[in-house]
Amino acid sequence: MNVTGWLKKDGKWKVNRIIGVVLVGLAVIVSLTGCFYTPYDPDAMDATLKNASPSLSHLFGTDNFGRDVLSRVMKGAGTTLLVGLAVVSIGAVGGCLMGAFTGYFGGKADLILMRVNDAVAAIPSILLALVFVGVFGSGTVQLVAALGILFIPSFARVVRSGFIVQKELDYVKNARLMGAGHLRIMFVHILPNIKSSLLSALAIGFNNAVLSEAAMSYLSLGVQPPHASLGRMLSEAQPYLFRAPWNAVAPGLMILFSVLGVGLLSLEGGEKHE
Amino acid sequence: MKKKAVFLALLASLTALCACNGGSSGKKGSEDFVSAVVGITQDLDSLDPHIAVAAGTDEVLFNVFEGLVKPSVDGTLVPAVAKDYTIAPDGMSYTFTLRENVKFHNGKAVTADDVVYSIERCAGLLDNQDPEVVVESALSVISAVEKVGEDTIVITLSEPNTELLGFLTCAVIPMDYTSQKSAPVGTGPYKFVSYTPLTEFVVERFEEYYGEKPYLEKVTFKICASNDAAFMELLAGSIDVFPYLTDEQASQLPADYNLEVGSTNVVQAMFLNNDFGPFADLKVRQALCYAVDKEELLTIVSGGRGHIIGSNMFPNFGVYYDETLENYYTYQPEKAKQLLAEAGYNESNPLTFTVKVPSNYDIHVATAQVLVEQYKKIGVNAEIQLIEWAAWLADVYKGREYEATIVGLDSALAPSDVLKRYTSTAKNNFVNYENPKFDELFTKALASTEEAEKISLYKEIQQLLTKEAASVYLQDGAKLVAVKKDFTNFLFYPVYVLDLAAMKPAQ
Repeated sequence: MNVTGWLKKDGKWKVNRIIGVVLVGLAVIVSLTGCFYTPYDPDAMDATLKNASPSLSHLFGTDNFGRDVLSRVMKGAGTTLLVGLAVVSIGAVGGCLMGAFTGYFGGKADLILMRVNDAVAAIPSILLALVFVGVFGSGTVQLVAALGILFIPSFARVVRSGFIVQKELDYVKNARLMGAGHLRIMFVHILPNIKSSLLSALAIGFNNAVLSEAAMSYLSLGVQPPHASLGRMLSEAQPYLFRAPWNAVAPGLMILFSVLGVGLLSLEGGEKHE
Repeated sequence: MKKKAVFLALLASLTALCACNGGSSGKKGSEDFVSAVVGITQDLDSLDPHIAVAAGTDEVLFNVFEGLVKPSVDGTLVPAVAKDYTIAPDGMSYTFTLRENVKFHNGKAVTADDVVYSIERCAGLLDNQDPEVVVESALSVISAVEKVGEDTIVITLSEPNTELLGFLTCAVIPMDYTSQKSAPVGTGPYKFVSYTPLTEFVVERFEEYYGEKPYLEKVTFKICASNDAAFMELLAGSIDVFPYLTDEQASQLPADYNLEVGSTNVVQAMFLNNDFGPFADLKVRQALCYAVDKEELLTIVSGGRGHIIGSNMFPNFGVYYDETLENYYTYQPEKAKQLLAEAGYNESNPLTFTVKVPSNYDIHVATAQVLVEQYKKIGVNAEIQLIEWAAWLADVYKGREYEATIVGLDSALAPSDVLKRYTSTAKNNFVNYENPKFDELFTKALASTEEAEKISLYKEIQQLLTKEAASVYLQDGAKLVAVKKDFTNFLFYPVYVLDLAAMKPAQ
């Protein structure tokens, strides 16, 4: 599978994938650059430049503290995307393990674990995260842990249903006859075969994680000020929406780009492989 | 289809919200009485003045109720239901002579029995005390309230206190009246008309008021869902007076409103837990004071409108306030660094602490961000932790589990009230400040009957707090009020009240 083959189908460009690649690429480049270079110190204040409109020296204007919005978006996008990745990783690893064991072995353990799963999934995730943060305090680490745990059930379900279907197939029976151990069958034989549904679950999970981080920080429970994150910036921009809309536009667009981009890529990922 | 219907319903309700009361703004138009609409952002917690605890309720009920004395604009207490009073030289008893012809809103004359009942109810001395009544702790020194004649009462104390007057502003109410919670009756310039929860509180001029008759004949306190909602109504013209403008809203005020600027009468400070390791060192606390550029802080968080303070008191305390302390700690980052170095902190061993900030107060969150940035310049790592208001009250204020916090403290009209929290035994001494000299000066000041001596003692106390850098005192915020150009004379008080009786027509 080469790059053009991935972007083309039957001689036609796949517009979804191209737009997705461009948007995700933009988000990644901006946030990676933000790790080692920003035009200004993202936390440096300047009382003389409160809510200055976009200009050549400050491309996206400045916020209520006179901080450069572009620098903060670059830094904040990194934080937000990193939180999204960490949350999805915790959710995916936890969910894969839980889904693989319950789906492969079945039985009473499956019944009990999946009901626990249902119980966690039944509570709105933001609400549960609020409780978690209320008990363990607010901060980036707590936020990642809370959201990560909440993302386990959705992955567990996807993986479990995949395993239930796959374990009855002939290749699994063959492997068993040839004396392969359970762990080898689960993670070497079956897991690669549910790749496509797992990939779309990853993409959707990533988007939800980014949005949840934004929501939690917006409610001032996630990333603590003065550190920038996209949700935190939106929250701080709210009172100035009419007088200094650039405060909200830049972080809002950044969230839109990364979520839309990953979403477009995952649309294609869900299709059957040629 | 369903989505569309929901959207239309939302749109319709939004339009209704914007349209309601669009034209109720009373002026000298076709109506034959003068009225005004005041926007408030909190519902009233009770109509009974002795049960209500919210500052936002006191502010409104000030127009309906009066005590023996009441606060005036310049910070002094003026006689209200009482005509005259004397404080015994030993500070052990107060004698009040009642004003003649004071009437309750229900037409009955105020008697000495009513006054005795009211004070006893506030101080928790009644036999059949209503458990809902919030007993004012400062009044706990009262041992007896007696009627000694038709128009004279004597209040006896269990220990000397010459500052009790500031708390005798508690409302005088009729003793045999039981519907105070639903239809309040007092002696103030306005009498109660109606109250609709979450909607409005309406009062009208009390024609038999003993004092000067107010100009406004009817006042509606319109309860708005939020500050933003109130401002939208103001933009639509349905609110005449709005006392809680933000700096941002003030800059967008329509042309037919005047902006009145007063003071919020709070001590905003970064309070330091004096028991927290590093803050036990005076040099560290002083370094934190020298490192703050208050001018920059004010420019950023309050549009340059606040008033810089240097100790735990605000300017509206008048004679008691020591304004020289405002410039005690000027912005000197180098000196701050040097003090930190002397205390043993440097680049390899930086001072690190966490500031807990109540997340519902935008001004404190903004202040925290500015301070953290300013402290970074002297190599101090301060981390912000936002917490809920309820958690703040429980953990920081009551539990004293914090390192530093930023908040604003208000006060009753008595210098003792604002300073008492620094005495070592005070229950609300959440900064854990302990200094025998402070306690000694405070006890002396509280018992002093000589005004000049009292003033100098209280100034000495403020100086002590500043020199000891008990906390990093920042500002007394600006209160921004929008008043429609039809009216003038919106008065600012050193306490939390809204005086509608004083309002006058524009010339």
